[in-house]
Amino acid sequence: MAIKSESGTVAIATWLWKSYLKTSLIPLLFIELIFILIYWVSTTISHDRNVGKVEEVSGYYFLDLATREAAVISSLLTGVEKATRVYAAQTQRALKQPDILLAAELARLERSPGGALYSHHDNGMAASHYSARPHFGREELAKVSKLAQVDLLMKDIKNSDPIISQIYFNSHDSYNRIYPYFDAHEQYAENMDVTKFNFYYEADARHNPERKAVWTSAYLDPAGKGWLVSSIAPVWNGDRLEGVVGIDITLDSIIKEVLNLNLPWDGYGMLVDRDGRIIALPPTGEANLGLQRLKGHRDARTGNEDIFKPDRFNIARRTDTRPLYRAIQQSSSGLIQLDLNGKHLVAFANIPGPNWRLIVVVPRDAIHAEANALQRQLAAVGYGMIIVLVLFYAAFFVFLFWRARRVSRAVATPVEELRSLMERIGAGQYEQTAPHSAVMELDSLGRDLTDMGHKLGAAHRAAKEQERTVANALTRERKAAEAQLRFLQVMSHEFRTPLAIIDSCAQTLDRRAHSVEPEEIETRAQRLRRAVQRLNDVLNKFSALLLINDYEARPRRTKPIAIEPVISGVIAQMTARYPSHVVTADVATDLKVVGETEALAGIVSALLDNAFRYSPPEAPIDVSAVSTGDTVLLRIANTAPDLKRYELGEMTEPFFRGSNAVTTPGSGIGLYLARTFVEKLGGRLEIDVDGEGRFVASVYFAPDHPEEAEDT
Amino acid sequence: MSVARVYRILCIEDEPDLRRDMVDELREHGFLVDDACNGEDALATFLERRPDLILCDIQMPLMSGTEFRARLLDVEPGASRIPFIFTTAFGQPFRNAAENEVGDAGFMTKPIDYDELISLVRAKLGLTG
Repeated sequence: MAIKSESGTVAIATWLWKSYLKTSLIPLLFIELIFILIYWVSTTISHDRNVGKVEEVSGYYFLDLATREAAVISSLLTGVEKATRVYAAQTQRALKQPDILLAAELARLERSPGGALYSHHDNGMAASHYSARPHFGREELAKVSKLAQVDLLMKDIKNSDPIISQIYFNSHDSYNRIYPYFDAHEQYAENMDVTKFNFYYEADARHNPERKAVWTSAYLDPAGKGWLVSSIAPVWNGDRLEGVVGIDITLDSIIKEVLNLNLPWDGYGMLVDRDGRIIALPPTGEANLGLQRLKGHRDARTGNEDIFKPDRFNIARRTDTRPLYRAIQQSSSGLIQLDLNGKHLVAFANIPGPNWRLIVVVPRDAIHAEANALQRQLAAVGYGMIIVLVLFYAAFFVFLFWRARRVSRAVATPVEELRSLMERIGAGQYEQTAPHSAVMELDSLGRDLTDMGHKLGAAHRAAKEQERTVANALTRERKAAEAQLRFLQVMSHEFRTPLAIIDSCAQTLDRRAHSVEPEEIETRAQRLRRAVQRLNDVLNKFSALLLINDYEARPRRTKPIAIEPVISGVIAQMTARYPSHVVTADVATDLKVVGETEALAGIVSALLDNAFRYSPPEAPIDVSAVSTGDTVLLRIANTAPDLKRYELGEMTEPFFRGSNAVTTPGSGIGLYLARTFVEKLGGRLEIDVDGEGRFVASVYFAPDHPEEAEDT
Repeated sequence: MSVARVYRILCIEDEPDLRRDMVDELREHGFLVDDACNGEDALATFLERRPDLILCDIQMPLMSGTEFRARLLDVEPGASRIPFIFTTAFGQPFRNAAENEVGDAGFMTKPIDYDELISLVRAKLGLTG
């Protein structure tokens, strides 16, 4: 993925990726994060509001529930309390009667070995037990008899309400009359002092100055009836407390009532008495408070003290429940929050009479459970959203990264192709094909570049052509200059040499005019003539050279010409000039070439002159002319000592003289004239060296097509 | 005319008529003259009879006059002290090129005036009067 280079440039893929990040991904991600934040804040606010409302409503609900349940229990207790008051009134009335002795009642009594007086059998009425004393007189027996008259009431009251466990009267002198019957002697201590028990002293003048019916605290029944609570009322005879009547009710039914409270959210009911002792507590509450249910009981009648629940069952003595107890003391009903192994909502209501409190305890977590569950679900949704977003953005990032790479490739590849294209064009490969690109601008750029390449190619070719033209012109100019130079050299040499000979002869004759012999004059005259002949030859060659220009200017007069007479005539001229040379000629008499007689004579003359001039004496010169299909080949071969093969290419150039020919008089235009005339006639001249080292000039005349030749 | 010492001149010229006249002219002025028609003959003659001056045509077969001089110096370095006079039928521009190549030699353009030739030969040989 590139990366910023040292030059500050950056790859297309990196640029696109950063662009995507800056323009789309980061804003999108920011917005998504804002949405998620809003979602979280809104769900949190909604949860808090829900929790607050649920707590408020549930608080009212539980308070109402506690109040109603307290009213139910109160209604149960109120009936017992009324019965207690009726029983107390009847007992008081019975005791105020004149003394009587009921034989049947007294007959049921039996004195124990310890001195107690007790009823020894059940006659369907109350049991009777007088604590031991030395003597039971008329007064004690009359009290028993008078109280026996209330037995039917006791029986009726007991049977009127199933929660009533027993009904009894305890006198200040520890006489106990109790219904239903049981073996009191068996149960009670013989010297039991009933005034020491709460069901007695709580109704005395000190504890109950208002002389009303009161409720005792819960206690473990000494007679083994379990946890009881007693509604007791004093029985006064004037200012003397005769005794206390009481109706015991078992707490089981009330406890069941409390325990069976069907409360939502794992709530439970709890009943505490006015001192804070827990009367009823379901297993949930026990577990909550870390308590174990008190089971079993012992015979309290064998002792002199009440049996109450331990302090850990007293909310006033427990640290964790003390705030509840204080609230109970301050108000008859209310709602508080309490930490009992966790936050709990606690509603309480007063039960008049025993002044108990019905308490409803509900764990706040349970109240909030649905709200919390909803919040957890919403949180799960939120986490799900985050996960989905993360996955989506991860996939989206990957997709965009892949897309950036692909787009960059889509751009970089044609750009690279364009760069390569430009390189090729720059390297001179002008004719290129435009690479196709899906990107319109790049595609257009590619076409423009190839067009530019075509134009550059055309311009380059034109420049090259011009360069070639200039080079050819320069070459021609150089060759012309060289030819001119050679011309001057040839001219100078070919003129000055015979002139030098002529001048030398002249000086000699001048110096020796008086002593020159006739033979010497003859010799020098011949020298002078040869020199003049050389000058004449040179002039003839130059005339022939000029004839070429004239030949170019005038119209052609070509015709088939017999070649044999032309060759024979030239050979005759040459042998006259070079008598020591040997010529062999093999020319068919019927051979004809198309051309002009002057040009043909010029060709043969130039080539044979060259052969005679540079061939050593006695060396054979071979001349042949043959037909080769539709053309005629003229071939002239001669010995050429020291001929340089590498000079062959220049030998037909004007004024060029081979290095082996410099000592031989010559103008250097013979072969040039021959080549020029041959080409004018439409043929070609080839010069070469054969296997024997001989110089060979071959003329291929144009085909014998007179009508075409006429046109040329 | 007589000279106190007889100087030997090697005359190299490929044109026989001209060579003959030059040899005759030099001999008439009292020089001993050997002649050669090309560079090869001239080298052989030089080694046989060492001349006091060399008169040499530039345009010759086998080797040019300047090439002959270079060959001669290769064979006999002491020949650099021998004065050279080149003759040529080329014009002044070509003579200038040769003069640039062999700057200490004398040059004469054909046709040769023999009085000028004798004067130049004497001058090169250090002869006066």
